[in-house]
Amino acid sequence: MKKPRSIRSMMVLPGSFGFAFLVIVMVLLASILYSSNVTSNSNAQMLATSQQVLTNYETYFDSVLTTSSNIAAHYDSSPVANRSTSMQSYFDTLMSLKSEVIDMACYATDGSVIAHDSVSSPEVASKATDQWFIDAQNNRLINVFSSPAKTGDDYRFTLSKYVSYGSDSAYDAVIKVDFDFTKIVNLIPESTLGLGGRFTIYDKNYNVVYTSYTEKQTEAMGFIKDLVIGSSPSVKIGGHSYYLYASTVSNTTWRLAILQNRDSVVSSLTTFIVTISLTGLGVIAAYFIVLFLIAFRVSKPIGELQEEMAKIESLNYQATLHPEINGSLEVVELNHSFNQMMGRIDELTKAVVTEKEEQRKSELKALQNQINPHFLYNTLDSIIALIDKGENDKAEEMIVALSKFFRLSISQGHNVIPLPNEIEHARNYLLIQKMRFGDSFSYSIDVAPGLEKYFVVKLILQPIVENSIGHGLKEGEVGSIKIKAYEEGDFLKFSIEDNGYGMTKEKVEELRKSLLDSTVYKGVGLKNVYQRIRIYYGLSADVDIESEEDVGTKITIIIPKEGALHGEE
Amino acid sequence: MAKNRKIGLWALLPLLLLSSCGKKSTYVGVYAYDLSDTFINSLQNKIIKDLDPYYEHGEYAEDAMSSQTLQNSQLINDIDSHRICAAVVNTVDRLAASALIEKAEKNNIPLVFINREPLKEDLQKNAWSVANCFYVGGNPNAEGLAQAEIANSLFGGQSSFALSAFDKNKDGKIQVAIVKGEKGHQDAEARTSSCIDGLSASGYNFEIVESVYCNWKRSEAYTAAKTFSSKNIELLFANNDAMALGVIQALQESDASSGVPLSDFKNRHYPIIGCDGTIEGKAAVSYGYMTGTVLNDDTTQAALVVDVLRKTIDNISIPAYDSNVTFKDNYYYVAGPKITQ
Repeated sequence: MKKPRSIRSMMVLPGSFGFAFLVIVMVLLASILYSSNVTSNSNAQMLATSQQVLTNYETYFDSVLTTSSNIAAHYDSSPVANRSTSMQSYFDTLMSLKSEVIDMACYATDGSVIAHDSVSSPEVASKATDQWFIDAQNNRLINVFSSPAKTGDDYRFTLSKYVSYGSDSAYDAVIKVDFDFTKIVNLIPESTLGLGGRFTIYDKNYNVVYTSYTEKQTEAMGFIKDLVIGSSPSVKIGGHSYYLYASTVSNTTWRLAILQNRDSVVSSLTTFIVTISLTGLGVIAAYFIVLFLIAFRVSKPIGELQEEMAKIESLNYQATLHPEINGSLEVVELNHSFNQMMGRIDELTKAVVTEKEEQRKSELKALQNQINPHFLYNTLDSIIALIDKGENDKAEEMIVALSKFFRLSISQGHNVIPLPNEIEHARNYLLIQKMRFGDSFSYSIDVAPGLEKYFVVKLILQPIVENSIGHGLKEGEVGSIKIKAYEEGDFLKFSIEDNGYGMTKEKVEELRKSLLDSTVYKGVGLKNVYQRIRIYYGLSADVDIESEEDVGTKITIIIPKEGALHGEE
Repeated sequence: MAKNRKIGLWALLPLLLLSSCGKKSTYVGVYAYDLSDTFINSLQNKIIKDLDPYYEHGEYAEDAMSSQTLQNSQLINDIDSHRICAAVVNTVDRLAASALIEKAEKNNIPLVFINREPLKEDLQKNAWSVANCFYVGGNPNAEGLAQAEIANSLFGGQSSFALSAFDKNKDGKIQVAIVKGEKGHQDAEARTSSCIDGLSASGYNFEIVESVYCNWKRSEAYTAAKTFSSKNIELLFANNDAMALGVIQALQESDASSGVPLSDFKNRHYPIIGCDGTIEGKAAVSYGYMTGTVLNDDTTQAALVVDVLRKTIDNISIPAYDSNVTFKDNYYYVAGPKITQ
């Protein structure tokens, strides 16, 4: 069977586990909701920022494309004859307006220069083999953006476009404009992208055209390649977390990637989760402690009560309960009921004891009566013998003694009789026996003066004297029986001493044990005396046995004076 | 028993989740650059109608409203959420096709580009793109040439033009105005250059007196045409019908303000040649306001888009088309007929 749990653990454990579970679920829910909320908010914000940056760049590239188409339109409308000078002056005008333009030029389809701005000096040599030139020829409809390797700290790019010349395709041309990207970046409103944040412009082969931050660019490019376009809310570069956005840039073959540092989002999430987790743990611990204290308050009085109840096992019905145990109403009432119950048990027990005593008394009375017939027959036989012998005086004396003996035995039905009567009873018994057995023993009775006022249980001396005569006297020797009655301290003592065979120590011990053991039926007379004085006088009454082999035996009856002051009521 | 049933339901849950995630989508997304464009609107309707027997699809195409950024996010969301098994894309910016193809390749999503032709270097970037990415569109060069043919059959050659009433200033040259669609749009540029090439090939002397971008829009063409009145124009090519109608509307309004009856339109004004063959365009031809138009055959294009998809997804071979469909690798061009009455 399962071991029952204590009230404390029953109160504390299920409640605590339930509460802990609830708190953990709430902490988890709060963390998930908060994280998703913060993440989606921050993602939305970062997406908006990214798209704003993209829009700024697209707006700029749109103006670049407008420049390109303006040049194309101007070329288309320039007369064939003076298109070179016309273009140069147009270039110069544009150059003065646009600081980010490094140079502008216009080439015929064979690569020869038609015109260039007068500020810079493009090489006049054929451009037919340059990649931007070939690309523009191959894709006549689009503006070709190309990015030569950066020179020093300057990022630059080239725009080339095939332009058709009105009705005569023989005069078609390729225009080329070089832009300083660094200056373009300066023209565009900056966005805060955080530590390690960057925007990178690259072509479709992932060659970087421009990047605002160069550290760990290879790593960043790896994430960009994985993403292609779109957004990736959490990429990790060098221990930092970034929001990555990549998109195409309209009307160019380029793409733009933006990395925004989101460490603050991550750390705010971490802080929140750590805080709420610790708070949750604290709440659980506090709840556990409070519950424990409550359980302790409830269970402590119950524990005390339990200890008190354990005393019942020792049959100590007078076990003093705490008159008032502090605790809950139920515990106080339980305590009260327990006290009542204990009182009742005590009463009942006492009643039972009294009843038992009464019962035993009547049994003893019957026992006392049993003594008589045996002795009576023997004595009557002795009297008959005396009469037969013609010793009538002695017979008379014996009959008188017997008469006295029985009168004292009966004592009008009283169990407790005056002490002199009891002495007298013993004396008559001795007298009768002496007459029966002749001079085989002598006796003396010595009663200390002042004992007359006491009362004793009757028939306490005679059975012991009987024992002395029956078992104590040596054959062929004159026995001696000495009876003494005296006071010693709070006790009355009666000693019956003989000089008979005596007993071995073992025998004495055996006899003493038999007095206490109700199952052993040995030494009937002595045991009977012992039991009766115990019943009447309580535990302080006793019988003392002293004996030495071949020396004699001395039995002392000890009775508390207190109990001997009054007769039977 | 009740308990068992409950357990059974719980056991089914992961299966349901698995099946909803694991099952390959049969949804084909259609992405239009701008549904306010009448031609695109009609084309997407026809594509969706043709898709219907074979694939799941949206009720309308996703509308990018002329923003490539918006279209990128529409397409990426659908790819990332595994909503689509293939996509029909009408890009805002034809150069964006490069990134879209790259993204599609990572997810193995076939793409059919319509109307805006991706660069060859993008559409034929690698073996995957050749096998899974296509372009289906009109044949702008054929359309441009057809526009020139309409003009040629009207004028009857350079010599008869020079003597005719069409040569208003009697200089023996055609003063040509061109209303172009969109800067960088391959159809606009190709139609423009082809119709000019067509005129040259037919031996006409001409000069271009007007060349404007009106972004395929009737309203922009209408506004632009208001400024044409001072110029001597003897022939007008518009890259599409909508813009041609914008020009016609501007001319009709100026006629109406000077009390000229509508029936006189054809005699008073220069020939106008459009392209696309929209319903309104065809009506304008039948009324004589427009000399002619070339059908941008959206019916055939839509059917071809679905056929290409079925071939790619389900390996069902493309049925035979008339000779007006030409294809080269993964480029499919549909040339439409001339409409002159």
